[in-house]
Amino acid sequence: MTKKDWTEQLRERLADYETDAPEGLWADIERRLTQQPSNVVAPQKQKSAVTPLWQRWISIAALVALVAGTGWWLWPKEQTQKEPLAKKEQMQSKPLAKQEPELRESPVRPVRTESSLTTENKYAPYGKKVRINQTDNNILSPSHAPADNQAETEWAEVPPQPQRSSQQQSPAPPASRSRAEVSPQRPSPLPSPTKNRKGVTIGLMANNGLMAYNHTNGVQMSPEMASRYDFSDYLPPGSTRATEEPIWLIGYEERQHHDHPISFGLTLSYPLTNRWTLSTGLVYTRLNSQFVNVLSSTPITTDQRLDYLGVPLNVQYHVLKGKGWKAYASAGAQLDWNIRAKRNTEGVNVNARNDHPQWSLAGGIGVEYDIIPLVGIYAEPGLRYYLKNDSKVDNFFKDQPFNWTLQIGIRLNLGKEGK
Amino acid sequence: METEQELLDAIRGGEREAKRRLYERYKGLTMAIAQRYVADYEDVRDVVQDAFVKILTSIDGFRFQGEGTLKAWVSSIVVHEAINHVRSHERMRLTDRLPDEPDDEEEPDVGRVPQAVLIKLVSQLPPGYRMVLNLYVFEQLSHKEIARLLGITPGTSASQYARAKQELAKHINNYLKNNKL
Repeated sequence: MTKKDWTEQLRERLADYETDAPEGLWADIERRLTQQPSNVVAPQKQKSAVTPLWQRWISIAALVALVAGTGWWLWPKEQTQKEPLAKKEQMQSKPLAKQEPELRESPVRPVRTESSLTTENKYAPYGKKVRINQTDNNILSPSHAPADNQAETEWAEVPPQPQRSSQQQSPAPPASRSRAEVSPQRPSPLPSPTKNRKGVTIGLMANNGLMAYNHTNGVQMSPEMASRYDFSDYLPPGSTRATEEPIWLIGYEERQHHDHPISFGLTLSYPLTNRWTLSTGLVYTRLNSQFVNVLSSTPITTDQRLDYLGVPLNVQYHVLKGKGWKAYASAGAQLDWNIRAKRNTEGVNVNARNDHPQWSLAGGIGVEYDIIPLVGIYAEPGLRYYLKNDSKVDNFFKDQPFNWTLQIGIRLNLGKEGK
Repeated sequence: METEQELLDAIRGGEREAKRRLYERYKGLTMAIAQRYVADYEDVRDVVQDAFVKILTSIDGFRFQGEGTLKAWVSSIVVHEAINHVRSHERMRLTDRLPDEPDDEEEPDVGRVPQAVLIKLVSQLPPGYRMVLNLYVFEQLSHKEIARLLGITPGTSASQYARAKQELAKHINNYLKNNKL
């Protein structure tokens, strides 16, 4: 014998109850269908959609400006000096050629460390590095012979000059060569701080969480209802049901599926020292989820899509460097803004709330390989933790706050000559 | 009687009259559902109108999974429309910090109350109570799912439901008492 809760009786009484529809309702519906056949959004929602769109574009513009501004600010000043200096070098290259004997002893010929020489020889076949004394524009003056005062020096790249090809092919002067050969006092696998600090790096990255997440909930009978049911027919004779034991409703179920978060974006890195690099950027992330409510064995599916725009701030510590590759550890934080939220229940767009700003902390190790001197590819497996943001929007970040990630990307080193 | 599959095929095949048949088939059900969520009758009309416009313009995206799924889909759209309407037109107060009140209300005998009256009594609950009670009792959603839908915590949903149930029992008992049923 089953005793029903009164709310259960209420549900049964009203489950299939129908009331009269007002006169003219179909005519109004038909008119709207005729006027705007593709309009599936109620007028009041269209109005509310305009403001967030503007806000989103303003937010995006502000973020782009932030990243671009940061990049411009971080851009090494030497870069702006490079062109005029190079032009000056070009303009004066003819006299140089005529003065070849002097040239070998002049500042035009680079005097470099072992690592920089190796880099130049291997990676810069179309350019030539010249050392320029910033305190004097007359770089060709014999009086400014190369000195060991490297603190005042900067490096600039000069386009190849036909007149100088013979010079490039000629054997290096004994002084330079001997310096290059006898420089075992620099065993560090990393370039010197002065040289490395020059290179700003921009990159494109893609990131994919390594775990999707599925979750299925049965629907429990409410405690009030359960307390009133007589289970004697379903239990072995003499046994009783523990009151805290949940009762699952047959034919009712809730399923959640969260896809892998997908991210891609633009990064900008600036070397702080020879080992430390600061990086930021703009990252787009998409979260797709599916919620299925099975009610009396009838599944109703809701698809949710959340789009985020985030700004990461990371530091990298370069651990090892080999021939054309380097390994590093990375740690940092990221703030993501939910710029768009969409929910669709069985083909119909329904109201969706935007998630609150989402902070996350990340750490990982990475390996970068230079496929050509200016361009490196990298892979960075790591861990990411999404902090609570007090939002009620269900997504991957909340159901799986701690997860593995794999970031891959390409980096363009704008200051590679500095290495 | 025309099956849901046949009705769907006719609509998707471009048969103009089939849309009307869908409306006729579900107008009474959708009106009853909307009345449970929305107190004002004119607003009920707007909700049902918006829901049918959505249904008929989005029907190509509906995945038919057997007899009964079309009815469930139509109902779910009306529910969503009604919730959106209440959100934008009524002030919903959803908190789990409710004052303690003794739950000494006698269980109402809902079988003696006319269905139209029951709907009226449900629709007269405060908006927060009304949403949670409707979703829990009639849509059979869990408190977790209600929380996701309304942007509240499952605890808030549970406490709102307990209070809504108590409030509705009081109204039903008053009705029975006043009408000497």
